[in-house]
Amino acid sequence: MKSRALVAAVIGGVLLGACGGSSGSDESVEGESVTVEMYDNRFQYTEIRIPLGGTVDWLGSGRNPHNSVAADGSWSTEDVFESLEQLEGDSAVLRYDDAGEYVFFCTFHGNAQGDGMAGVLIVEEGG
Amino acid sequence: MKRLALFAAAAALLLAACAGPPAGDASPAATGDTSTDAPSEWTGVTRNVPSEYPTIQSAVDAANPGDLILIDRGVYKETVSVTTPGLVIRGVDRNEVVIDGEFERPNGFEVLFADGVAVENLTSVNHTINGFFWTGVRGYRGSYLTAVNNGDYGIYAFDSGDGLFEHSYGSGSPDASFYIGQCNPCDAVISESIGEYSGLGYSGTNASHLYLVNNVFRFNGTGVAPNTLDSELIPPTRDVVVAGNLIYDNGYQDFPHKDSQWLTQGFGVLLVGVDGATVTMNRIFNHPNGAIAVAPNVDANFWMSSDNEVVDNVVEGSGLGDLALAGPSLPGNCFEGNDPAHTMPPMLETSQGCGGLRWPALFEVGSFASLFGRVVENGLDLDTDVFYGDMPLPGPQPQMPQGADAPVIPAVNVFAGAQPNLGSIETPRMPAGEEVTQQKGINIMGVTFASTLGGILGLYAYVLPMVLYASWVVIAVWEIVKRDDLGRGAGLGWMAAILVIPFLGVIAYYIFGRSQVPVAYRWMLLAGGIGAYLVILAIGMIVGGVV
Ligand SMILES: [Cu+2]
Repeated sequence: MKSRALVAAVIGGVLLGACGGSSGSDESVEGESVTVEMYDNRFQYTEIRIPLGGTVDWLGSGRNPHNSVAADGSWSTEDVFESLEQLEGDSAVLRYDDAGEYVFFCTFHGNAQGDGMAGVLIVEEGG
Repeated sequence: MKRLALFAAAAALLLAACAGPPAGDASPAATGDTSTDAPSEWTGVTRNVPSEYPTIQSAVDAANPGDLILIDRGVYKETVSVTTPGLVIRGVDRNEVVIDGEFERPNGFEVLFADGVAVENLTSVNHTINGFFWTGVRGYRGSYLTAVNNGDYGIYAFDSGDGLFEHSYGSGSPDASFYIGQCNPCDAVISESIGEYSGLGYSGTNASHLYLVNNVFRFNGTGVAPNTLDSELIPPTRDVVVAGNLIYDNGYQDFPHKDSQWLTQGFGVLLVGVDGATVTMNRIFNHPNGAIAVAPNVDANFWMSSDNEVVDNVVEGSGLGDLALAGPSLPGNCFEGNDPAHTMPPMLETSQGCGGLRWPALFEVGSFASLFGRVVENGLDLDTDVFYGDMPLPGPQPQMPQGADAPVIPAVNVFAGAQPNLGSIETPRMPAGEEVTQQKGINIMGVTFASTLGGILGLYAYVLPMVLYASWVVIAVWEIVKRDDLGRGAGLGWMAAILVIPFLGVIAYYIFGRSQVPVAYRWMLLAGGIGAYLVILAIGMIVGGVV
């Protein structure tokens, strides 16, 4: 993580900080291969559009474990990561070969009704 | 132009790079919207488990807002997921109504976007994630709960407002026994509770305007750690009140932990990147590092602490300093009336008293350097591996008064009734059988030797830049004195720049000042030293798994 380069700066006794935060609010994303970070306790994007055969890299980015599971049970990050507990840096790349609209959620911090840590993945036919 | 680029690079080194916080919005419930979906009164309906409903979940699913779910003695092997507002979920016996996750199920109770749910008088053990978990709710209460050996948090409220955890017990959680995160104002209180044998007794990330009063935090990595991180929304953490707590013996035991909990162990109260906290009337003793420390936090952004008041605590038995201000910090942190035996930096109550301007006069950075050593040790897996399920079980905990017959009150408008009167809080007495045992330990310029590698690397990381800088300054000033080509004005000007502007002044002199030190030597002096330093740091961070 490049942000951790800061640790070097601090430890070096290089002690001036100047920060202006910037923030976007793009909660939807579209692409052929998409990375979705799993923060504490939410998904980076709550609406994801990919074409048929596209991939999503579900990437652990929080201090707590997370996962992504389809509400209809058709797919889960556990299928490739072999555990539901993805910590920071743990990646699970899933390929989607069935078109459809999937509600997904983290089994630790959300539910299949889409409450809490949850979102929608749309796998589009053709395109 | 090359010189300018070099200068710019050097200047950039001195300035922290910044990243924006992740996108997204905290829920209205966690940011002051007081509207609730929960009824403020009991419906009068009681749903009995297991006599009417075989599982707690089946009773919850059948319930209407405002019902009481009453659970009889037994071990329940289920996760209870609550999406109906205003339920009161109660065990008839705190110690004998047990939800057991068997180290398979993630959460004991999870309350998802259901306002006003109270859980009372029962125990949740052996879950891979949380014992009790509320998220996205307005109004929550946990009373007389016991949470033991849960793999992330014991009792946990996230993205929620208006809450109370009281008379509860949490232990054996690698992150924290009690956790409140991502809310401003949280309007929350944790009181009369015990947090032990966890990474942290209490942790609160980006959790503002809340009270921790009259609790006990002991035998953890660190007792209480309000903090600011970019990984959750609405940073920073502000206006936390830590008062009347008994905090001791943190940082000695083998405790379950995540990386960051292991790195920050050994403090009573650790404010990291916190603004406007009040720490008062606590009794804090026996910590390898310090009783109360104020420090910045490094994440995607660099979060400095400001305006924290540490007043009238009893602080004793610290290896490093009873009080510590780790730099850099913003103005406004102050220390008064704590009667410390020793502080980091020294004389903290004089240099940073609560009267006057409260500028960040002095702070020590050695502890940061020690932290670097710990990061490396962590990467080398030199930390002790402790399974959260192996923590000692507590004896029977006190029952809720009146038990099954207690008044049934949904968790509506909780904070209004729970907000403590700080005037009535007293410093806890020394518990029977406890004594102050920790002696002041060895440190060199604030670098501790709590661990050998931490000490050596810490010393290197901390001292080398000082040595480099000192040698730059000495050589440059000496050269200016000796130079005939500079007029007196130019000479004095450069000297002033070197002495007054830290780092940049002397770097500017070597690059722009037509120094007669041969170029190769100048490069060695500036780039060589920094290069070696950065190489060591880089190796450390790669080994430490930071990058
Ligand atoms: Cu999650």
